[in-house]
Amino acid sequence: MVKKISSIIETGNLGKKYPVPKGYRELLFQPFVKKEKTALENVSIRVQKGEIFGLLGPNGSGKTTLLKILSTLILPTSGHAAINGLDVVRQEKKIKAITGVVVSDERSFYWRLTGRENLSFFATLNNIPRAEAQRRIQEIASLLGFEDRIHHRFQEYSSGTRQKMAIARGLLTDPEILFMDEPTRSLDPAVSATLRNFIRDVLVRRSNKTIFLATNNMKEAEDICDRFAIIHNGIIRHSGTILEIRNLFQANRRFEITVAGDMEEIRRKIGSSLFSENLIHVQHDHPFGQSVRITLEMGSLKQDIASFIEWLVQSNIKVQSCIHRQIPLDELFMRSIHA
Amino acid sequence: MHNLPFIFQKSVAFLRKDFLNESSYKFSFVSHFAGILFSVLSMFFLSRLVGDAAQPYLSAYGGDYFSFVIIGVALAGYMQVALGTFSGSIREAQVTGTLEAMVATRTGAPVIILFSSIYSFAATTVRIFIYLLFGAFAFGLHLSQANYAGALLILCLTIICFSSIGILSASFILILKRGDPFNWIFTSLSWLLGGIYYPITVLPEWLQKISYLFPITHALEGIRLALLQGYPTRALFSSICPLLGFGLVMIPASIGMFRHAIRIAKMNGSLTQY
Ligand SMILES: Nc1ncnc2c1ncn2[C@@H]1O[C@H](COP(=O)(O)OP(=O)(O)O)[C@@H](O)[C@H]1O
Ligand SMILES: [Mg+2]
Repeated sequence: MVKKISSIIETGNLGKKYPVPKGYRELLFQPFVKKEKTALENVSIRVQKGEIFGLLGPNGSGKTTLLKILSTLILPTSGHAAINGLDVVRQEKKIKAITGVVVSDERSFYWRLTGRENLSFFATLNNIPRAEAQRRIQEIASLLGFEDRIHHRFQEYSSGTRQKMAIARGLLTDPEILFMDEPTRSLDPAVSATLRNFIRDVLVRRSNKTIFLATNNMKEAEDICDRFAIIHNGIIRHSGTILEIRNLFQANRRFEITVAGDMEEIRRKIGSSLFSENLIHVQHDHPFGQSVRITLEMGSLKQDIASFIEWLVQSNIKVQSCIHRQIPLDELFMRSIHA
Repeated sequence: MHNLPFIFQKSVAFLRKDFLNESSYKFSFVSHFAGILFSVLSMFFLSRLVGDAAQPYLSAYGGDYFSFVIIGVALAGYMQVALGTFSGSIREAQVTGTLEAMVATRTGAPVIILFSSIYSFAATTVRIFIYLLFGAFAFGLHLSQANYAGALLILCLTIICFSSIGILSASFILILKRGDPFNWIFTSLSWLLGGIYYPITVLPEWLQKISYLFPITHALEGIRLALLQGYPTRALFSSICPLLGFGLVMIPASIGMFRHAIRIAKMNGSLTQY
């Protein structure tokens, strides 16, 4: 059998059920009944080499579970997952040799040790010779911009620096594939932006790494991910590029039309017209403005907006402007979840 | 154990990390050593109370209660550390959240659990050494005819035996987080039956038989004969063999258990829980 490895990360019908601890009462009366919580269900994804793949979902949707299964820290209960053709259950050691993990849990460092002492320890556990480790620590710290604080204790760091430490630890081994769990959580917007640029420009474009990134931030996914999957309640709802997901929801068919006239009257007129189903809302342009803004979404036919404007003109409503708007991503996200 | 070339580096890394961590709690670090003096002193006064009354029971070990008990307590110190350090460091790694970070590295579970104890054993050795020095120079512990090589051999075997129980206990802790019933029973019975404060000959005969099931009994017997009576190593075989057998069976078993416990934790997703 000739099997070409086209995807660097691949899962097929991956499922995870966590055992749920039982209370004393249940232990007593139903000692053999298993209680479980489903965290992932039939997850099938593919990630190509050299791309930033985003896993986007609200809290508790199963992002961390999937990321940890892929990095061999949690075992799946059904289906399969492979990293570069290596099985996550049976080839843990080989997977660790090509991957790195960045968890967003700041508890995972020794708080009373300095940044350098922490990184040295984890470097040794990753089989990096001491001299090389020192060189890499220096290099990564200056790349991420915290080399001036590397001799301070971890407990003195700001949450931004702690997050950078987590990223630095993931980069120590210069892994081919990097798993990142909410890398910009608890960072302010400026630091987040710098970090995203770093991930996109330095890690992926320059070093050609593959990045699997879990996030609950729509903007982050849009900014840096080549492709992403939307996950909710452990189920992948959609996956593809931003463009593909937009098209899926006909996202580029939203229009804002500014007209003159009385708001209530216009609302009533549209409500009893052919276009009532397309209407999103009717508002004043400004709180005290004279103009009225009509927001509506059109179906698949381009002519629809033309016919609407025609109808406005026929109804003696004076059109001032018409703008084609994109649906904000977080709204798309909500729709995709509730679809 | 894979990646052998890094084994030495890793042992140093664990030692260094734990030393930096422990010594950063400066008061605890210093008071630990001050405690030794008080301990030796209380043994000394206890032996004044006992005086020569214990001599008939202690003739096999030279007859001096102070020497008898200080060695007993020193070895029991190793026992306590070996039984507690593995589960202690696992528990601490769970609570501080570093356990998952270690498991995520390219170092296997056996190395992680074994090396997390290195600092404790090193610190205990320093402590016991000071303890015995005190005993020898200030209070008349007689080690003039000691067979040090034999004693060291028995000490190493003792550490290995107790470590296996300690690793077993760490496996329980990894899953149950708290409350390991096994370790508690083992420790209590070892103190009761092992002959730390009194020779086992004071026990009723049926209890003496049970006491031979515990490694501490053989360890204490052997190490006292080696240090106080200077028995040659050949003559210590009756203590060495049970310890060796116990270790050979229990170390692989306990490491296997620990591996299994890590698997269960990965199943439950509980590496980061406590
Ligand atoms: N160790 C665990 N035991 C039981 N349930 C868990 C465990 N870890 C996560 N869960 C549950 O699984 C679901 C997914 O969690 P998680 O993967 O952490 O989501 P996310 O990272 O997207 O916030 C949640 O409902 C969570 O409560
Ligand atoms: Mg999460």
